[in-house]
Amino acid sequence: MAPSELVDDAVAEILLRLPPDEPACLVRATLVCKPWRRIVSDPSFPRRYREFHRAPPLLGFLHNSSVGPRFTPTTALPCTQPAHGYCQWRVVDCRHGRVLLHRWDKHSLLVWDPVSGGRRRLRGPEFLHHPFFSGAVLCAIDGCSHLDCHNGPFLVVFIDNVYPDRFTRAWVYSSETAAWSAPASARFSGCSSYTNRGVLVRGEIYFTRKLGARILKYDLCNHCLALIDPPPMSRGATVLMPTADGSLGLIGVKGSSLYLWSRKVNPNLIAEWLPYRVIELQKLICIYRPGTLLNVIGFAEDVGVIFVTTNIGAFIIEVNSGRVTKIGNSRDFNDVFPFLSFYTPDRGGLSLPARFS
Amino acid sequence: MASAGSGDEKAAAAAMITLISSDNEKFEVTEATATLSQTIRHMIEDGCTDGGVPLPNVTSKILARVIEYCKKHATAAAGEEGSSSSFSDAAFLEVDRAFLEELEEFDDAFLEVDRATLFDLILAANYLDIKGLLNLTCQKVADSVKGKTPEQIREMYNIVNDLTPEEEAEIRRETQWAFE
Repeated sequence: MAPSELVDDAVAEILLRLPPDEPACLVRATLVCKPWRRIVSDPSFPRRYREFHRAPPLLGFLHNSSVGPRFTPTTALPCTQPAHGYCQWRVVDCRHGRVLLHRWDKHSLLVWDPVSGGRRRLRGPEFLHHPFFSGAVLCAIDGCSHLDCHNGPFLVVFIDNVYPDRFTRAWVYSSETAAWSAPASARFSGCSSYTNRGVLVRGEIYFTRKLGARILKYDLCNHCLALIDPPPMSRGATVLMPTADGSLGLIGVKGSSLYLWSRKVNPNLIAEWLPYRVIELQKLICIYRPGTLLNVIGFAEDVGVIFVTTNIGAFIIEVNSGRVTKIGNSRDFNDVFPFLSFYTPDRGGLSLPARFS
Repeated sequence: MASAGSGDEKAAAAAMITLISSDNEKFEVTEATATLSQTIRHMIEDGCTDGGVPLPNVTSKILARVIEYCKKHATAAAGEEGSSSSFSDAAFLEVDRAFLEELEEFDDAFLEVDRATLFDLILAANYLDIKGLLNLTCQKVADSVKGKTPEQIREMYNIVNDLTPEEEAEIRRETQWAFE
């Protein structure tokens, strides 16, 4: 039987299995012949494709460089970098296919969907000009699979610290009501800025600063703030993350090893930190030498990718394959925001918003 | 041990099903093997298998390969069921691991076929609704397609380009990034 006699159903089954972290594969397949193009162009195909792969892939990452926010794709994408009028903005968070940027001098936040190019600017409240803050953006739909919620409603959480009163406050913006909530407020001694990216775990967002410092927890349902203790690690940088089983996780560094911790509730209903994995970088790759200052700057456990800086550069490490890619000089990378999303041929755009100063 | 015993008993007690290929060849298989196909499972549930199951879309050559796959994987499924209660037992885990490796080797060897056979296996897996086989064969084709240009894909799989030069040029213009 000639292979071209494959029925459409069978061709669709093949095309469904093209890798989502290389969107160009599916686009090239649309140019093979009319039947292949028709299958991929069918409105139901992108939905089937997302459901088949279950979780959005890594398409690239954002970081704040000296010339403003940069998007670096990890695969071929129709991507452009911004021209000018952009360097004042700072990436604050990235989740559920959306990026949250902040511009302090204009008291503005911006929620940007890199795949559709859609953006929404949030202006106004006086607290937006406070220099010490963290923020988070997230899909507002309960029980959403986040496979394709880019165009849906979203929430923005904004955290600040007010000196000298040492009040920490949290506001929530809803895109549906286009309004900010009243603040949740708590007074924590010794609490200063929360500059790292927040992590969403079961309706709670966690922020941290550095190892040894207590972790700030914001409970979305109850709109309240609390502090929790970090795991007992003595030094090194630290990054929070959601673990594969949906708990709060943390990566600490000691020597050339990454220590992964997970926060679990024990039988006495007390939450405790448990070490669950050690990743030995020296064995994995030769980017570590004794005396090297190793820092974790980002992590996407869903796709098994860690971003680190050492004194010889900044790297992406794919944990399972051990593949290492240099992404630049360490001094250019303080933080990295992995961008996970599907990019199917029915999507347009994927460009940084130009000139939205 | 308990798992192996119950697996054998199950197999011995299982009813046999006759599958009939498009060229009228008959194959006797156990129900456990046949029901890896959802299509045949539904026929058994509906009581439509007396006198054999005619499969007019599958030749004897391909059906023999499909049955080979189903036999191997039906044994694997029986093994998994039996060992689930002994999950904490390291010896059983070791056996499971060895078995999974063997299964992987089987799958790799199974895919060592020419393109026409691979496509026929995909069609049979799709028609018979055998998820594991469909996944295995389609993934093999998808892996071979993924780094290729449209021209290379057409050449590999003998596909006629029915897009007009104008259409092709327009699509390329719109999606230039995917070809760089």
